[in-house]
Amino acid sequence: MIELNQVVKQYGTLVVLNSVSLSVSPGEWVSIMGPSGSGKTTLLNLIAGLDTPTSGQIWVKDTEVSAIGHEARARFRRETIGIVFQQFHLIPYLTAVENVMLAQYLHSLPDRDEAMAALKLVGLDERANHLASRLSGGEQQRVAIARAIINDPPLLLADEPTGNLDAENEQIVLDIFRRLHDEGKTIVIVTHNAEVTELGDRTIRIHHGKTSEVGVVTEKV
Amino acid sequence: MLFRVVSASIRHRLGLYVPMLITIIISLALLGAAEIVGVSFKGIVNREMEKYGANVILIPEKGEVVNEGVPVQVRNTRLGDAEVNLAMANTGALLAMNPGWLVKGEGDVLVGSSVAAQLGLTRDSPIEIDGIQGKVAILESGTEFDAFVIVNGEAAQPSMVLLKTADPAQYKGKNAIILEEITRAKYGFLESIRRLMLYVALISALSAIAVIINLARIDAGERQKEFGILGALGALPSTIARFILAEFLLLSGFSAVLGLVFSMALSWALVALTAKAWPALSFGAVWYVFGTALASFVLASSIYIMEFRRHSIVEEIRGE
Amino acid sequence: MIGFLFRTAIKSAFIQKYRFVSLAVTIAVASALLITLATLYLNAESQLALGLSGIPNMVLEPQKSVVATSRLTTDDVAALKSRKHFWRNNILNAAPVAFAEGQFDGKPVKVAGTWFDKQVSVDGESYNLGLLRFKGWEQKGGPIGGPVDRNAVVIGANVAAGDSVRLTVNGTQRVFPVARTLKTGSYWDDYVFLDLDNFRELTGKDALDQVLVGALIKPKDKLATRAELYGTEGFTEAEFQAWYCSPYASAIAYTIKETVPPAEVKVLRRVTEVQEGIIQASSGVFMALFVLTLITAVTAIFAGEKMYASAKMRELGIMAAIGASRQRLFLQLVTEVGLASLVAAAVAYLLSWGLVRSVSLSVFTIGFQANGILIAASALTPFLVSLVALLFLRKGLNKNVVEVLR
Ligand SMILES: Nc1ncnc2c1ncn2[C@@H]1O[C@H](COP(=O)(O)OP(=O)(O)OP(=O)(O)O)[C@@H](O)[C@H]1O
Ligand SMILES: [Mg+2]
Repeated sequence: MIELNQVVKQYGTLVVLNSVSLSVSPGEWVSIMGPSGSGKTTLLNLIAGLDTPTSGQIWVKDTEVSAIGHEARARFRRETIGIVFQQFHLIPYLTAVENVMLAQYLHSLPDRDEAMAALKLVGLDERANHLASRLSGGEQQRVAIARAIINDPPLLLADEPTGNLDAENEQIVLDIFRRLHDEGKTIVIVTHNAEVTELGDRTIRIHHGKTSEVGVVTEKV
Repeated sequence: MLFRVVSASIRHRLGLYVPMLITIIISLALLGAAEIVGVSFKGIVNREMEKYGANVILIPEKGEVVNEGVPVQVRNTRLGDAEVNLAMANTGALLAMNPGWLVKGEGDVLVGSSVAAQLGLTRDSPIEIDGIQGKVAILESGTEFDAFVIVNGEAAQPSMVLLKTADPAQYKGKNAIILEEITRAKYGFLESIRRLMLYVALISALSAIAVIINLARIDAGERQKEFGILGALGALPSTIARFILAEFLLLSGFSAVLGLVFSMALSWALVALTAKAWPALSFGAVWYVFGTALASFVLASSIYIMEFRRHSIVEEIRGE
Repeated sequence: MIGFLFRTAIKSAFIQKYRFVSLAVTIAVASALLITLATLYLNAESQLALGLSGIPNMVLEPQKSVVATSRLTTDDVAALKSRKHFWRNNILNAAPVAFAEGQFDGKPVKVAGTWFDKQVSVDGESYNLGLLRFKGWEQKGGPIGGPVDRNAVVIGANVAAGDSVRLTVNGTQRVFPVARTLKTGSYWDDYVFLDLDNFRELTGKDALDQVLVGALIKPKDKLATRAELYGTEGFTEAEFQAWYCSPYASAIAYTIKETVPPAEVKVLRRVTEVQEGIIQASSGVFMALFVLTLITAVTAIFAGEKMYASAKMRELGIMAAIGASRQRLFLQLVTEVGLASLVAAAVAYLLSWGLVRSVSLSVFTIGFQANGILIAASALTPFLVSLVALLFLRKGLNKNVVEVLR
């Protein structure tokens, strides 16, 4: 499903990802762990086609994401990817349900009932008509999850999706992921939570821009 | 959905948009008013030209009957020891035709200022000339009539006919004196005013465009963040364009309509109050106002769209 | 403290470059609009008045009385531009005229002696006065101010002649080349004009019959109307001063009479009334347009700053959240807006300098200079408006920090 081949991402002289190679099979659940500033978000952005690598190739489901243009990447994101951002990135002046419907609109057609169902799934149906800017951090996070899954994408990317949640809501969210996993979706989750990694098939550690399956590679570049 | 997002965005930005719209409407009103004033000046100048008074002095041939204007019959007579020119005419019509003439006093015999100075006649004093009795009113016309005494009466055999016509050229070739000394100055003036107002309108339009674009971009950071989110959800540049264009077209239509209404009202007040004339309707103003509003908002949105195309989504989402 | 303030302001300007540049450009454009249009209105009014004043609007004639007739000389013409004459600077042109009868092609023709374009020295200054210096008259055969042969004639547009005129005056016949044809739209179109010296040589006539004067006048108001109707006898000292020191047609006529006592000054009312009417109307319109421009510029600057502050609310909210006082936030805004105003004033000056020049050259073929006071005022405008705008914004700073940060 995902193939990274010697991917380098550099901001000026700062090398964030240093020759990362990675392979994720379809239907696999991969957890990514690593200290703050190690490049986790950067990696997700590259896979999602939000950003382009300095060098190296990225393949996602027969598409070489690193080689296609703006519009093709937008289309790719729309069709293939559901993404939950670390900072949620909701449109502040739209309501919770409108935020979800926006993703539907960009994909195909907005459908209020479907959007409400997705919010119900994350336990937010009661706050559906509140402005996103008025929701709490955890609520916003759940709206972001509902938005990510609404178009039924084959690949789900989530950047610390349970970071702001209490135990009960965390369980709800993890149940959703588990079900999606059962349905055969590919899932990549950035997390600091050991409980979350246990649900996954595999954990990748990232440290100073280097990935490893186990242990720690420390190397300042 | 498009409408929902756009209207939510506008509501969200009301604090920003209200001052912006007020500015735009006033700028557009200035632009429209300049154009309307430029066009209206012709009417104003033509009205002022009325004060020029008679512009053709026709000397009728023997037996020729002139059915227009104010006939004046002139003869020499004596007033005391002095010899004076006496003119007989319908003085009411004569004064109405020449609004620029100054009449001092309430008397019914118009004594030209030169004659009055020469003979020491003063206003409202009694006078008897050729058996006609009356009171002196002193006429200061700045014309040959200042050397006349004019009494009200019928000019049975006119020596001249004063005419006020829009087309003095038709009297060319006749025995007539055509007075149009200020005509050239008038055309020069109108041409200067027209060009000046055109530049005023042009400068206002350019400044309106610059101001609108910049005001519409004051929250560019926020805007980019939103576009970044849309982009991350898979929106194409064309979709982004649709969102921003829809929003700005709505704003431009709103401000253009109000701007036009205001420029009509303003130019009306301006021309009516300061120059006491009716403003001319100008289709130019309609085009200018709508064109400027449309052009500036379309330009502002294309800058956003261009930026969106140039930046990576990650940059956009940060809103830098 | 001050250093930190400036550093924060400059950083904020650089990081939020769009916002800051947008604000600065808005202020610059609005100020430039104000300077440019105000300068144009101000100068255009006098320029348009000059354009309307290119024809004679007053005539001096020898004062006649029952006893005697006085004499006018060319010295009296020069006296109009002398220091003796209070309104000398408003005398745009003057030409002496003496009349005679002549024959041309066997028909009688009106002949006048005058100055064509004579250089006259008065009080150490040199002026060009004469018939061909009335710019409102149409000349054929050469430009206004171009050289004219003094031994030629200028003919009115109604005089049918070729390149030369065989003119008989006082029994003497002479052939004159035609230098110019003059279209005045007035009685003068029937005349053949000779240079005054040639005219005197031919006719032996020394005295002048008229002096034509073109004066730049100010539209009359209530005071001037009273002077015209009832004379100045009933004026108080203050009213008289106010009237005398304004270039009303009646006041200029009065000062001419003071300068040239033997003259009877006739105001050509059909001309002055029209001139006054048009000048009055246009100056009213310009005044109103100026006010409108002022409002436009002030609103634009005001809106720019209001929007700038609104867009910055979040940032200010964060600063408030970590303990900045309202005064501190206000100071921060003042510094940033002041910086923008400074940049804007410089840009506005350059922009309006160029605009004023090019527009005035194009419309009036002379380059207006932006008035110094105006430039200072316009440079100050952004600051003044900013100050007022910020006072309003102070209220905004009282908003709940939690609200702002959402
Ligand atoms: N646009 C950028 N320009 C410069 N440096 C950047 C940029 N984006 C990210 N970085 C740097 O790249 C490094 C990795 O960033 P990234 O956001 O991927 O970290 P992360 O692993 O997601 O950290 P966290 O767990 O705190 O979210 C950081 O040191 C960050 O400062
Ligand atoms: Mg991260």
